[in-house]
Amino acid sequence: MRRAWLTRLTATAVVLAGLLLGRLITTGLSTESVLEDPIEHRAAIGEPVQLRENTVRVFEAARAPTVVEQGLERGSSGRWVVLTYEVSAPRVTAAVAQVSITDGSGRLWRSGSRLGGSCPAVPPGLLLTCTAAVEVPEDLRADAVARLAPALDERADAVVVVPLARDGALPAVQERIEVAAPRFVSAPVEEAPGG
Amino acid sequence: MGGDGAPARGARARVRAWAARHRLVAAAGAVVAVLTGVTAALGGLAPAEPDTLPERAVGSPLGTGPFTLRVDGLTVVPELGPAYPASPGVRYVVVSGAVTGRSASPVPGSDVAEAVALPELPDPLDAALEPTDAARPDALLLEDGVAPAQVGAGLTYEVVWVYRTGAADLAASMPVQVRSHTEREDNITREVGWFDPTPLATVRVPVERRDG
Repeated sequence: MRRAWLTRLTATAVVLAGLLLGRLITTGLSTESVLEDPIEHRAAIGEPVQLRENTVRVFEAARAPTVVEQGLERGSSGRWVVLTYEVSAPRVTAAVAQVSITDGSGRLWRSGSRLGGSCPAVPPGLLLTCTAAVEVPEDLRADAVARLAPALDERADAVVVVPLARDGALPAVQERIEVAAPRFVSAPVEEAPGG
Repeated sequence: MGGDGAPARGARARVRAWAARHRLVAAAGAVVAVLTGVTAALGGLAPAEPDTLPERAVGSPLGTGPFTLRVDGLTVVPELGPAYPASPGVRYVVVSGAVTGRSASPVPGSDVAEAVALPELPDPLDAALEPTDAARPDALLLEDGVAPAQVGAGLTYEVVWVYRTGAADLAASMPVQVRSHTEREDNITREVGWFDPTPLATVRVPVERRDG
């Protein structure tokens, strides 16, 4: 009789230990989201950043309540942040697939909400200049940063992060900004990373 | 009276004997009986009250989860630009209002279309102008005339929701149902988004007619 109870107690203890181990594994180890966080490369406006397959340089950031794309005006209840940047890829065709803006409040806004303009992939040997317009509210904080990602899914990939403010202030608000079409120019021959 | 006692005692004895042979089943039955009794005592078995949605005034802002949504009016027109041409027996029911993004991340434009419903729309038609049981509106940005791709936090858009109906006449007023969404992980992709549109409130809106 006593042996039967001992067996039951042992079985119960094994089950509880298994549950405890499972709990430790699910809560104590690094979560998938941490492992999948994008690798952020911070740079100032005008400073080039070399990613895995391409080099990206944001050389202008501006703000306006209205943008004009192919003759069509687009107003906003907030502001448009217009980023002009160049992309080159020394070895393989590559792209900036997504431009977004975040600020310290944890909010995020993406380009492409209302404007059709997208930036095509750039083949090796060419330099591509693109303009992205991101609609943001008027209360965008001064700690806002632009994020330029080579793929729509930023997980476990390199991302360029560029603070929008200079000397603590966001770019001055202009009356309107023309959103230019992507423009290819010849790129100086770059040495491929690692080669 | 005395004659009734013997069969009752016999029945009790049979029940006891059965319970002694099936102790586990008897214990489970007792637990179910106790739980049912407690549930009944707390009102859990009473018939549910029919769901009634709170009514809100035209033009009042409503928090729906991803948006703050406002319903401003309802207009019936025979045509609405090239995408909604005049067709015999077809009317377009246009709900006008506005949405302001409340979610930290951009919300897909399809959620704007799901945020409003017209449960009492007679003879609803689908996009091919065929009768349908589930009328789904086209949500369009008033300024751009196209469906919103996404709605970002803190941004406000004037929106129209366009329905199609085969009804020749509509009531003087119609209830517009505002629906909320819940933020959760997708069961398959594990991406966090806004799902499960659920009726939140009703706005009774006067129907305005424009015949041409």
